[in-house]
Amino acid sequence: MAIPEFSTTGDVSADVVVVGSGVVGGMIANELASAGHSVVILEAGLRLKRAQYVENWRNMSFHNRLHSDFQGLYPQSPLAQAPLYFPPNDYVGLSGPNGSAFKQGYLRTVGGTTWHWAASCWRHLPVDFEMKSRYGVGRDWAISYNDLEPYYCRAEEEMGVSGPHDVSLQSPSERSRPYPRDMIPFGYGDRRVAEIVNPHGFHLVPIPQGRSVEPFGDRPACCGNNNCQPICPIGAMYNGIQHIDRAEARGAVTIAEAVVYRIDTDENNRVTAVHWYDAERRSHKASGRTFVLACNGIETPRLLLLAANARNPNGIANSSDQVGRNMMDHSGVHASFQASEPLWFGRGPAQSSCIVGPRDGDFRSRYSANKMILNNISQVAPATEQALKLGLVGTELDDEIRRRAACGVDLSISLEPLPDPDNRLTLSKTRKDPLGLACPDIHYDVGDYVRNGLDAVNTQVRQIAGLLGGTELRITTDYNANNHIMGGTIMGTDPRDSVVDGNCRSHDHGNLWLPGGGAMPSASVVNTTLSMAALGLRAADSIKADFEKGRV
Amino acid sequence: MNRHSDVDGAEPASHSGMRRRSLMMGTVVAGFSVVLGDFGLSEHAACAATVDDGAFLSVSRAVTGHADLDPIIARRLFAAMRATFPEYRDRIGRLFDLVAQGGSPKEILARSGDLKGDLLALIAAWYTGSVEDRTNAPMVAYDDALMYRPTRDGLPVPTYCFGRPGWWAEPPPPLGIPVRASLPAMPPAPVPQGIESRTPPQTTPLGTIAPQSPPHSPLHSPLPHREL
Amino acid sequence: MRRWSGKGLGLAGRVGLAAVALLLSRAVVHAQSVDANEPIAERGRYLAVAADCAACHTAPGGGKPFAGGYGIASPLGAIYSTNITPSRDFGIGTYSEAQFGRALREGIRGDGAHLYPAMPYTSYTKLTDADVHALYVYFMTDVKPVEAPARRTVLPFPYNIRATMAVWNALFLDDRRFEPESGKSVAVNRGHYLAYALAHCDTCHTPRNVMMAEMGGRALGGASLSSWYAPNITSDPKSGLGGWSDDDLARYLKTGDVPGKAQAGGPMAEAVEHSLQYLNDDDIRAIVAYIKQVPAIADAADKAPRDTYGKPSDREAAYRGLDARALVRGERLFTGECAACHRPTGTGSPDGYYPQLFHNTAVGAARPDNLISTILMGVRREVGGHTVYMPGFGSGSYVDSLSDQDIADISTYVEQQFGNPAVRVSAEEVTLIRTGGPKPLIARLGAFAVPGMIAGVLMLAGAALLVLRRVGKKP
Repeated sequence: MAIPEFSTTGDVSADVVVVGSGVVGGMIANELASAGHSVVILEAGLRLKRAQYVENWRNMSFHNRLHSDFQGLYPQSPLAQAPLYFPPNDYVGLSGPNGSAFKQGYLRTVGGTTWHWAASCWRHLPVDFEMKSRYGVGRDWAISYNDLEPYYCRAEEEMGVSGPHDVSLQSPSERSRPYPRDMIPFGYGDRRVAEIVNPHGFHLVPIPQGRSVEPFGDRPACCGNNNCQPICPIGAMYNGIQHIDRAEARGAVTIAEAVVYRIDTDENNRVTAVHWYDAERRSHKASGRTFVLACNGIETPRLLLLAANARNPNGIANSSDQVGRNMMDHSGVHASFQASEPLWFGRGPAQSSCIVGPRDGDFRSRYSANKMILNNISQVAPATEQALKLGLVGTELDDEIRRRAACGVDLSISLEPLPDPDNRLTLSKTRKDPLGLACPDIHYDVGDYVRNGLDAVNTQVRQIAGLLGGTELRITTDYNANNHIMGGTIMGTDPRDSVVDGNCRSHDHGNLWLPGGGAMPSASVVNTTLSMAALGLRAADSIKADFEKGRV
Repeated sequence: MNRHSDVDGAEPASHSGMRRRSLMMGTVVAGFSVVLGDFGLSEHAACAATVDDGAFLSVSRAVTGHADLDPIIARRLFAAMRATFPEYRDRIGRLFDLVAQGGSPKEILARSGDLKGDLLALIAAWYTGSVEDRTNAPMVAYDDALMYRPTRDGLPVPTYCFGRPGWWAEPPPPLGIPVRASLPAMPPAPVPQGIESRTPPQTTPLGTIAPQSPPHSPLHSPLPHREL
Repeated sequence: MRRWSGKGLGLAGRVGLAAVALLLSRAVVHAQSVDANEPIAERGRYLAVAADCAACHTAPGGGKPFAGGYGIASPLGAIYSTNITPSRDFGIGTYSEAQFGRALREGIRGDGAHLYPAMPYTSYTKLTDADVHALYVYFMTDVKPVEAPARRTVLPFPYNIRATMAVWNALFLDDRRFEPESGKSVAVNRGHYLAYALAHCDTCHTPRNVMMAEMGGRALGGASLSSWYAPNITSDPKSGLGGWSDDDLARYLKTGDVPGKAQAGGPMAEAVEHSLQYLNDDDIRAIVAYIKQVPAIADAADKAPRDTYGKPSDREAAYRGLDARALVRGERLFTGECAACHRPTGTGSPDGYYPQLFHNTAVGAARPDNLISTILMGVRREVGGHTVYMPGFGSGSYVDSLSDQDIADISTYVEQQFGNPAVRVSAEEVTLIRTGGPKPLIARLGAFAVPGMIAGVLMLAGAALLVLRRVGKKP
């Protein structure tokens, strides 16, 4: 078991230095530690226990819970801020026509943002890798679906994904291995809606999920307590912390509250070290042979820009000037209505089924695809707010809460933005974090491709609500963020217009990998985590190959 | 390796620098309604409820229509309301007089006059467990919040288990009440968005597109349970 | 960890047992009144399940049935189970029935070497000749030979000298067949036979003396098993199971779960999973009949039955919304780590899958061993094709890895709220359980006395005799 070496002053040296301890950093650390390499993981945020998050959530005010304050329960290191919205801390400065659509909720904490995800483990479609070739919009990836497919399988196995063994329910169905576990069983609402809408061309499928209804190894079974977001109280849902734990059992060392701010490069532009501030603002150095930045789609480009040095005056890995550009997220809308019969959403895990009919089609040359998640988060809190606003009391109040909770439907709809270099993360000239490091600014415009896609969404939603006897149908008119941050370190074959290659290795620095959402050149409409994990595992393989071939 | 063994910074022994820091971090945490100064948590106070606590509990029982309200929560909620709203004791005093004439919550509401706002706010506090519906408003109840009672038979209180893994595939309970009630126009429903907002901008109610064929055939119902 | 019997069973073993279960559904077995038409091998298969041979002789995680190699944790070191398939080179393929019977009943291998009493031959010695025959036929005809050696057992000196076991056997092996007691019902006698000769309940539930032999005077009176504690299962109404209904006891044996009362964890969960759930109802009833009349052994420390302590908690009403620092540590940990499944009230889930904490035998016991072990290691029990699983909170936990102090604080809180308020748990107790539980004298002696014990086998035996007599003279 190889272990990083620490100096008396707290500097460290290891074969592999990983910055960021989320799902991608954790998986890579685990892969490389398993291969016998010494690994140090630097994480800007705190390391706390699940139980504390659980209790913080239960202790939150009704209003915060009602409006999904998924950030506030995660205590932040005073030196490593992340976005907060209750009230807003304006850590990320937003501008542009749809700046408000980029209010991301990511965590800077050991284990990363999958602490409060809902464990949707989607694959991109094969065609999503060839948007330019097939539909004449966006960009092609530097790799094909087939190149990534084995890594999708591995990522699903690492995360213990339950997905449909029935091929007709798979999206996509191009698979070399079955899901590790069959689909999480549908609740009544999923079955009922499928029965009603599918004959009309909608294709409702189970969401592949990083949880299971029987124990997965030592991971407990999901008990459907409906709190995946913002914290699974019982460890039944995959969280990135699981790979941090595994990596540590194999010798990796995690340093929490380590804010990386500088990157050293040598005459060949290979990275030689990164520097971090500890909780007492003392600076330390982590030297290594290879480096991985997996800090999330906003923090990785921010760090690359912050770390500009004499040889790389526009920022690390940024000879193309593409670092921080092409920022994407599945900008989305919510549709809500009351069905004409009880569907009882809120039983079981918080996400269960999804309409994927409009995921693909020739229309994608003109406007965005979409997917519609049948939100399975308990409707009791919104039902209560509405019933109270009506001024009801006594049994009428109770009945209305029950009625609205049982019949309420919330669709979470994702659209697909195209990579646009003008959707750009830059360093703020005015706002600094407590360490004096520039905060990120982001300019965002969802673009006409998404706007036109929303017209199709409106029609489809009205059809679905009609099928379900819906009343009070409303659709949000501002786009909301979905925390699927992509594009800021975009992948491509040409070093002049992209940041990383098909292995997520930076074009500029032979021993620097930037895996994760930032590398993704197309957004598709599905949650990014599985693709990020697959890219991470692929990067880990290329790092291992470099070690094996003596290239580092 | 490199783990905090404690739940948070408040450790009895071993006050390392890190733990002291963690302790201070409590002040950095945003989004909490928790408070150090408890709303009447003292164990002794629990044993000797004052007349005011008793009055608050009586009023609460009358306006919610629930006779089994928890006296501990009542005491804590009363303290939290007093700390939030000026002259709250007087308001409860007036509500006390209002409910003294008896009647159902609906009847009390009907004669509440200018006390209507206070009455509804008190009911809302019991239902939501928080003193009011605003960011970081003090809260005293989660699992015990009355809003979870009407669906106890069908929905978990999130974070707390409901049954064995996979229970949700079983048929839900019958609704037991009409699926539609004649009620005033409905305000927009809040949607989960993760941003501070009363309710994000939404369209006015949209017309739905009626299906060309009946939405479903009774023959294909996958479950025995059905109610329309 | 399990001492001297039982362990997690691999998939292959489970498949095998599932097959057995199918057969058992129509095979009502009476060892002493053999149905002449019943195939002998099939009866042997049932007996092998009842005796839980696979628990030790089939390695967990997909080991081939009865191929051995499973390391049984003993206080003296790992004792590896042997290959008991009919392989002629690596198993017992060359054994005559007499040799088979000697191994089973006297702990002597075909080559004359002694087995360690990890093999419960002190129990199997009570087997009837007919049952030994059935087992022999089963192993020789129905079990597939596995042509691979099992890992060898290497214990530290002096325990590596197997001949010492001859002395031990002379002192402690009561080499007699089971004989029905006159004056007891057929069911009680049948249950006695099942409980001792086959299920070997005594192996865990009867305390042992300094030489690791069962103390006959305290039969089934409760004993420490590494990290777990096998409780008093005599008929005493407070210390034992005297207050249990027959139905509850039968349900417990068959499923490991009596909602609102008791759940099997650790080695007992394994016994239910691998053996007891496959016994037919008549045999379960017989064991119950026997257990219910085992002479009571009372412990003055037990003020009330284990399943009568505690009540639902209303504490959440008092602490919800407070800063964590306003809560006592055990309460803060309990609400964050435990209440999601057991609920703040401690009532568990209404369907009983997540157990109720009050009126719970593990929580109400005078010793916290099983509460601590459950928190540390969790519970896993596969019954009827479904897995009941509670994750542990030890190192590498999927929920949270808790420190010894954390677990001590939770345990003390749980005892105060839901269990025996006389029980308080220290971090040191958790440390002890985490590291394998209390060590018997013989294991502690090994570490210190070995260098001095160069006189070898005879001297050891002499010393043992001396120790025993002194102990015996104490009132």
